[in-house]
Amino acid sequence: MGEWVQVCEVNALKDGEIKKFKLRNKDYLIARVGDQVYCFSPFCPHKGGLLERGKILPECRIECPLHGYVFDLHNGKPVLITYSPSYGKWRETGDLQVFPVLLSKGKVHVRVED
Amino acid sequence: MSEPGSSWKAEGKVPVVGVEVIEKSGVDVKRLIDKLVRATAAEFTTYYYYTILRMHLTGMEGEGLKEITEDARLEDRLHFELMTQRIYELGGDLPRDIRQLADLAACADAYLPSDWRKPESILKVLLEAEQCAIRTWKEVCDMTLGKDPRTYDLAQRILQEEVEHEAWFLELLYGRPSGHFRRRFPGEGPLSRKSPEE
Repeated sequence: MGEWVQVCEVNALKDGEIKKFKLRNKDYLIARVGDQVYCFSPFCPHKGGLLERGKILPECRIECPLHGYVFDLHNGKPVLITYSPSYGKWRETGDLQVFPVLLSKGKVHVRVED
Repeated sequence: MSEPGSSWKAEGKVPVVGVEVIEKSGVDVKRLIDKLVRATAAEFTTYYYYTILRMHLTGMEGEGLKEITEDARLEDRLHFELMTQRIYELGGDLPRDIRQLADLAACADAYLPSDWRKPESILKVLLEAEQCAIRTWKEVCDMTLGKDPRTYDLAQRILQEEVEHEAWFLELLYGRPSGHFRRRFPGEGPLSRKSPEE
C-alpha cells in the first residue's frame, strides 16, 4: 500500500514547474498546478520519454517531450495520442503512473510504492 | 519487453564490475537498458524504412537526394550496431521477436508517404525521424552524463551524427545552410563506425 512521505513545502514549488525527487532509490516527479500538487512517474508510459522536461498544460495535463502524448495528471489517462491508428501497436500506451498527494500544513506528502 | 538479461540469467548471477560502478554513480541500469533498447530498435526500424524511402526518391529531382538519404540510412545501421553491444554489456538484450522490436522502438515508423512522388514529402518523413532520434539520444546522454562514461560516449557519437542528418534534411527542405559535404564513402559514419574495415 505504501506510506505517506513528506517531500517538500508547497511554497517550494512554482506554478507549472516540474521537480524530481528520489525516494528509496527511485525517482518521482511532482508538479504544482495552481493550488494542487501532483506526483507521477518520470517516464512516459508510451516510449519512456523523460517527463521532467515535459510541459504542464491547462486542465492539469502533461505533454511528453518525445512524441507529444498528453496525460491527465488526476488519473494518468492518456488524453491525446499524436499518431494515427495506422501506426498500429506502436502508438498504444498505458496510463501514466500517478501517486496520491496530500497537502497538509503547507507540506507536500506523497504515498509511493513500497 | 523481456526482462533485461533474460537470455543468460538462468546461468546464475555473476558480479559485473562495469555495471556495479555505474549503479553506484546513480544510474538506474534497468531504466537505462529500457531506453537503450528502444533507441537502438528505432535505429534498426529507421534503417529499414529509409531503404524504402530511398527507393522512391526517383526522377531527376530525386537523384541527388538518394545519396544523402543513403548516408543517413547506412549510418543509422551503424548506430544500431554500435549501441547493441552496450546493451548486452549492461546485462540487457534485444527482443527475440522482431515484431516486438518494431513495437517498442522509440520513434515512429518512417512510412512511405502516399504522395511520395513529391521528394519534399519523403524529406519531411526523413526529417521527423531524425528529430525523434535526436530527442531520444539526448535523453540517453542526459541520463548518463558524469555517471556512465561508456554509454555516454557512444550515445553522444550517435547524437552528433543524427544532428548532422537533421541539418542535411533541413537544408534540402528549407534551404537552411548545413555545411553539408559528401561523406568520403556512402554511410561513412565518421563517429559511429566501429572499425574502418567494417
